[in-house]
Amino acid sequence: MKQFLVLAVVALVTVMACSDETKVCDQASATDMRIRFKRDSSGIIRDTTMPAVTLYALNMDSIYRKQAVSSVFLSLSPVADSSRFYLKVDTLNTTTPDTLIFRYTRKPNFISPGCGFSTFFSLDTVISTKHTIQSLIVNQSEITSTLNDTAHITLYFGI
Amino acid sequence: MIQRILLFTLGFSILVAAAAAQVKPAAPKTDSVAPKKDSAVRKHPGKALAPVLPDSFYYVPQGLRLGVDLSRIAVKAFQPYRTDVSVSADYRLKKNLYAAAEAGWHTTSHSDTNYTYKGNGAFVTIGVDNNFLKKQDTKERFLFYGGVRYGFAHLNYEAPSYTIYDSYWGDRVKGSFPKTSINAHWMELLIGIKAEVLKNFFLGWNIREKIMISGPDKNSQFPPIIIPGFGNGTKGSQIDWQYTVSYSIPLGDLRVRERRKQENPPPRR
Repeated sequence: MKQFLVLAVVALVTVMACSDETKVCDQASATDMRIRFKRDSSGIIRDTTMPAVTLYALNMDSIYRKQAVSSVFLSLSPVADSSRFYLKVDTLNTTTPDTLIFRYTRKPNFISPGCGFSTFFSLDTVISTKHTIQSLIVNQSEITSTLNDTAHITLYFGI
Repeated sequence: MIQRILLFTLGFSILVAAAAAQVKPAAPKTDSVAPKKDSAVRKHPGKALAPVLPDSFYYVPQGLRLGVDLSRIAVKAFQPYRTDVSVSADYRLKKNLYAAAEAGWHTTSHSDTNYTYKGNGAFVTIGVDNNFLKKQDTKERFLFYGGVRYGFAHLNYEAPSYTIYDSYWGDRVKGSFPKTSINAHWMELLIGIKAEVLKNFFLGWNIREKIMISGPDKNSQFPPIIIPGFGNGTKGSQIDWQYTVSYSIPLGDLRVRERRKQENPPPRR
């Protein structure tokens, strides 16, 4: 009798697993790029929080407006093969803002029956002005919906 | 996935062991079991040989069982974008061994604000079932069985249109994926019961673990939502179930031979 009870429970769980997968988007579908900030502090390079970060794509709304953050997420244009962003990391009038230029390829990817499609990006080139940014490293060129702790790009500041 | 396979195998083994332990072995009704006199003893009167008894024979019902899987109606209720039709058949090969097969047809049709999807295909599985139930009567046809299957499916699918919304840029990217044809191969482990509720009419259910051998490319930009006969197109393994109504076409009787075991002679002193 006991084993039939176990089988019945398994059958019930299986039935419950037959939910309508097109109704719920339970996976990450955003394909934002993450940029982490680092700064040379007395010869030691470490993660840093910039005091007043303003970031936006040129001719677009602000993504961050004078916020103290140690990393930023931004969305690349899904209809062009390059995007340009304005980045200012403090409120000092003496600091000149930087411009970041990303060149990439795009391809649509099916995420799940509930989420539909999303655009995945593959970075080709990243160029920046060198006003406050000293250098940059592309840690990960593939920008997909997979969540992980690795930033796609690390920016090194000299200020 | 390995953890899931191990878990299923362990559960399967426990159930089989439990079932085997609970049923009592039945003495088969024999048609020609009148043991002959011990000719071996007579030929060699000086030696103490074990008695040689002839094998016994009896007959069990033979038949081709054809069924329909009603669980696909329930699946349609839970997942309206799926339409599945599945039929099954089995044929008794030996006393407890059955050749078994399933075949079916499937369509997927979904449309929402993000995308439209169309898919269709067919599948077939072939394998064997082994009955663990020891019968009290040779004509009894209840089954508590475990089985294995090899499955194959061919399907076509496409996304006639999709739209990707971008909240920051305010863009809508529209596109489509053309029709793609793929094949899939998988194995199944299953366990279930079948009961003869009316003469030759059976009701039964089974649960099965399906393990993909080869199918859609995991790095594909657009994998299928459903693989006919297997289920979710992006999973490597999954559990499924069936509830079948079937009719057994009687095809006479199958002769079963029960071998006699020779008894060991008493040790010499």
